Amino acid sequence: MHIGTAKAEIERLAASGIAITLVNEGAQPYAIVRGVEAPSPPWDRTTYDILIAIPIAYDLGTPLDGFYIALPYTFHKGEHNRVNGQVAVVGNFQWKAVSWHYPDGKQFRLGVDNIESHIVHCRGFFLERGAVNART
Amino acid sequence: MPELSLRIPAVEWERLRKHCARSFRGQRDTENGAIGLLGKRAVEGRLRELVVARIIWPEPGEVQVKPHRALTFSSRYIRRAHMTVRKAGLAGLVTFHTHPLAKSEVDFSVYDDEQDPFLVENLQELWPGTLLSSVVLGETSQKGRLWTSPTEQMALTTLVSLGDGLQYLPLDGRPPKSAPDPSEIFDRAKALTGSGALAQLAKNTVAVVGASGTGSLVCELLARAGCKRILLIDHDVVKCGNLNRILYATSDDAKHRRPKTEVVKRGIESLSLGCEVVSIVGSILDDTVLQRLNQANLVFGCVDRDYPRMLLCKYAYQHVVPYIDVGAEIGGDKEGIVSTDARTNYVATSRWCLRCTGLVNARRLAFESLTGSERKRKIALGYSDDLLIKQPAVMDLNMRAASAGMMLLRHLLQPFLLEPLPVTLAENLVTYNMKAVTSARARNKACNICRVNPHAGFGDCGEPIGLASEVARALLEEDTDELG
Amino acid sequence: MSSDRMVENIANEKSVVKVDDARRGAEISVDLLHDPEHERKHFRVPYDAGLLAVLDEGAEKLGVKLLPNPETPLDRLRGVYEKHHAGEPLNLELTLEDFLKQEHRTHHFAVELVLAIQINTRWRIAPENEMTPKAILALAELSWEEYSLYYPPDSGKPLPPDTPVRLQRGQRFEAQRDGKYGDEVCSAYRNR
Repeated sequence: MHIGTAKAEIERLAASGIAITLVNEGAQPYAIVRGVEAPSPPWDRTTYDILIAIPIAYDLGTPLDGFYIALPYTFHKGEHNRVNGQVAVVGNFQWKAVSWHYPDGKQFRLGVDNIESHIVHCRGFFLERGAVNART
Repeated sequence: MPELSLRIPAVEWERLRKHCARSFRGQRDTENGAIGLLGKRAVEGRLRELVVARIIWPEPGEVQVKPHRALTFSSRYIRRAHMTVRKAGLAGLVTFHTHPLAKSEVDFSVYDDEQDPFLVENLQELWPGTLLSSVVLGETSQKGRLWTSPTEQMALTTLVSLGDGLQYLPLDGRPPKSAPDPSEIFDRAKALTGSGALAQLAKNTVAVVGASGTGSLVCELLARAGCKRILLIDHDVVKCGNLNRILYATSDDAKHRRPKTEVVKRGIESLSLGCEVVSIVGSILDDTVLQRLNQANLVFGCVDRDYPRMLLCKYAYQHVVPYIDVGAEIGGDKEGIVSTDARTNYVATSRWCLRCTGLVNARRLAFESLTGSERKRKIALGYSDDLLIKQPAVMDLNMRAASAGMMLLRHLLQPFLLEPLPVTLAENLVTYNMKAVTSARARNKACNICRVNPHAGFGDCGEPIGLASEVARALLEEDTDELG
Repeated sequence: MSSDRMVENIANEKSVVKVDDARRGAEISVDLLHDPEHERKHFRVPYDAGLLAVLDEGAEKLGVKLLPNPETPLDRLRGVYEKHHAGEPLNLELTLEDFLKQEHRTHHFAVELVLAIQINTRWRIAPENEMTPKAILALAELSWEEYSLYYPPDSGKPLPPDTPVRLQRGQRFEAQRDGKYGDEVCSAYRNR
């Protein structure tokens, strides 16, 4: 009823071949995206599952921000300094919040950005940008 | 019989009148018309108001006049509108047509009476339950009715045109009465006896969302202006921390944690001004509570959270109802107080919503719409500190906001303020500055609330606006302070 | 009448079936009229069953659907007599027993699927395979001067009123009415 837009977007993405599902933990909706590619090394795997919290007001055009990575993971055989949030248990898996936000001037845009573009934004974390940030 | 009114966005009404103006230039065979799509507003399953979601303008040849015969809306035109109704789940159609010879009063002709039942019969045969409203336009008057079946019709009483202004026009076929003297809107006697624009206020039910510092004051102002029915909505109870600003609240109320709405109701009804306050203890986020706004003709928002504000905006556009948002904010830092703002915003069809005005912050809205545990994890990341600042709140400043909102309401009933109304009317008492903000600083042409809202004017035929009760409860877990 | 008594009557009066058979009902056969490809079906029907039930069960055995519905079909049941001659459509309110008492009795029936079409909620039997929208509207007692016909049902473009349309069984059309209004001058003119 309140996240009809998110549901519709997720169904559309799933139909297009993206491994994405909508899950609820209590009243809080999340999208689980499986198989997000990552270069290995430095990551310990070539794909990761990620978790995106969907604000309940998403239908009103509310922005998405940040994501969680499925545990366990290693980066350069250790931890990534941006994987510094709390651990959530959603869908019987453990996820850790990643501090990965839209930079100033490039915010999530109403009417333009959506779950699909947010996944692209999250994917950036695993690629060079996230890795560079981690090293500096 | 209960009154049944027809709401219409002012831009559509003005364009319709312009479209039909040629009919009244004294020539023959100049009948004209158009078809609108109907949403509806119901209270406990009973139809209360019709809403014109939009008008489907005729294409060339779709409206024809045969000399001395009839004005014909082609089946193709009617079908175009009816198919939209069927696909969108709307309530029905409204036809508007002119009687060019009706210079003053206007009425349906015998021919109109004969034809409408056939039309509604056909519409209902194609799509059961389709409502057909028809409005006949004279030069200065209009008359309306609703067919719920080929044999059952109801008179429409009032056309409510809403946009930058709020206009009540009779749908009884008589020209509107001349406007009262503008000063009457401030007449100290008429506030209670009711006349002219104030009589309209007496007929209206006003919803006040938020029964704390600003909401309680708005209720008193409404009661003293002659409003006879207030729906007061708040989920919270009186606490010691509220006693500095909730009108009528006592330390005993705080001790017993009485619902704010009950306390304000008690206070207003003790004035014996004939104003009934319907106390609704619940959150406006909850759809079952939000739906009760259907009883209201106008909404005052006195909340300090962005999520309820945006839901009220969405409601205002979907139901073509005026929404006056009032609020106060004290800004400062370690150096001192830099602003004491009292503000009022008028939200209505064709105006900007509170997000586009910049008042609602997208980040805050996102944060408020996370459940408690998710919100905590967000806070732990350290990027939400600014969203957690608790605003100070005092009655003296709330009074300024409530007062400005009430003045705006008086203006809507009987215009006296400079027009067009600004996007935001804000007063900063630190700088002795009253400011009319005329541009929406966060305007977004893709805004799905005020620009490209697919359910604008749909009323109850649109998607539910509020949340399931359990979701609303989950959001309130961490957030029980309604208004500062 | 009790069913035992009825069975006894049938066995005594008509001498066409034994009592045991009578208890089990009559064995009948059905064909699908105008369809040489179909396979004839045989089944038993209680004597007190109506011919409507015979039609319904026959259609089911033949694998065809009655229109608009099995309760009030426009499709017909006919008796098949000597030399494969199909008789007039039967009165479906008769019971099988009453039918079998008639002079030209037969246990052989034929289901006739008619060219049933739907205009809005009205079902009609089209007399021709091709009809103009004007004629289709007239079939539904609607005037082409006030209604236009649309096909497919979600179409927004009216069918040209005089161009014949090839009809199919079960085809659904929508007839949408014009909206007509007029002032008193118009009313006065019409009443003259």
